[in-house]
Amino acid sequence: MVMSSDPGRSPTTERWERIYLEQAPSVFRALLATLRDREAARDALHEAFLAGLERPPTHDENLAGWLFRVGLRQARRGPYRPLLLGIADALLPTRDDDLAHALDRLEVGRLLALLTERQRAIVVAQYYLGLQQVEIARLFNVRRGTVAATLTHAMARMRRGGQHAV
Amino acid sequence: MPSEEFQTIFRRDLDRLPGLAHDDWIPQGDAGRRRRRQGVVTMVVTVAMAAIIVGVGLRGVRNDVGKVGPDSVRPTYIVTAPDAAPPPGTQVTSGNALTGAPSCPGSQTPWLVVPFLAGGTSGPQGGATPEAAFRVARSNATAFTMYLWSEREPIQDNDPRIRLSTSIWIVAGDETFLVVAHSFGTSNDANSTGWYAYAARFAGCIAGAAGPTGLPTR
Repeated sequence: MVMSSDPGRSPTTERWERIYLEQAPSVFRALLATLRDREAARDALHEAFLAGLERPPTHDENLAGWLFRVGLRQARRGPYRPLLLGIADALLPTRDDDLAHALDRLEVGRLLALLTERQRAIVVAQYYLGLQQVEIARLFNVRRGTVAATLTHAMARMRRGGQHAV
Repeated sequence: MPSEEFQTIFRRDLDRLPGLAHDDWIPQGDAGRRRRRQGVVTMVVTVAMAAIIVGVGLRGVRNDVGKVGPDSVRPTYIVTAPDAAPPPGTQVTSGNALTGAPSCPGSQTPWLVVPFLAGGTSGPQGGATPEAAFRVARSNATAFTMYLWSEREPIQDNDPRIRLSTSIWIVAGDETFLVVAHSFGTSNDANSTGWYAYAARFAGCIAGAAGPTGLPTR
């Protein structure tokens, strides 16, 4: 019999928390690199956690990719985020400025800034989370050829704008 | 195909990004859902404050946040950036702001200086209650006292007199904060409203501040 340490939480919840926490640090950084906004990345991660609580993935394979995809999808659903983030970014510094600067100080951060959010998501999925193109295609519900083409365009853009020998 | 070195550098660099605090990995209750709304409110507040900054550049600011109820002819307080000049007749003081919410005699109006309005500093993060907003602003504060605006008796965070239209004054050591609720959307329901704590200094009492001539200028 599986005992839960907290009577209010089911073993399923505890298990989901455990496997989520194993993946959360790298998924958070992947979301941060893609969204370039700390609050948005944290919210996206939390939404992915909640989504997993409500409807867990059918298997544990590629859980980081699942969290990443669900988090990104939830972030894009934020009804006001695109408009308001744009306005706020244009007018005033925010708490995320330091982080954005930190990101930009990183060579990879500067290269990622050259890409669209979609390109960043696929590049991060491949080169940070280590997903295969076929996995990325499945996660983002696109053809593998689309993933390959997106990566090609993204790398070309980074090659033009960066210093690394990619 | 990118080199293996690229992938190594890519991972190394992203691993250097700061993570989250330990207790922030798991959303608390429905805080995760609410936080997004608060984030939106923060942005709206930021935009609104930016508009106020523009106003400061022209002729000082009259803050309608504190203008509530039947006394709406005279603002409850006036908020400006630190470099605003006081109008004639202002009694500059810092006397009574550490032992209660600022108050001024007669028809004079408390004048608050809010550094955030000068720009260059980030806007506050919101909280579900005045105390929560303050704790976000000063997470290391160990002792502080809350007052309803213009009151001298300390209150607790659950005081029934706290309304969304109420301003709260918080004293923490020699620092003081103005805590106000900002609402996003068309209703004042809890899901679209957050409290925000602004570092604020009571600068004095302004005489005859009902009209623009009584406002601080720069």
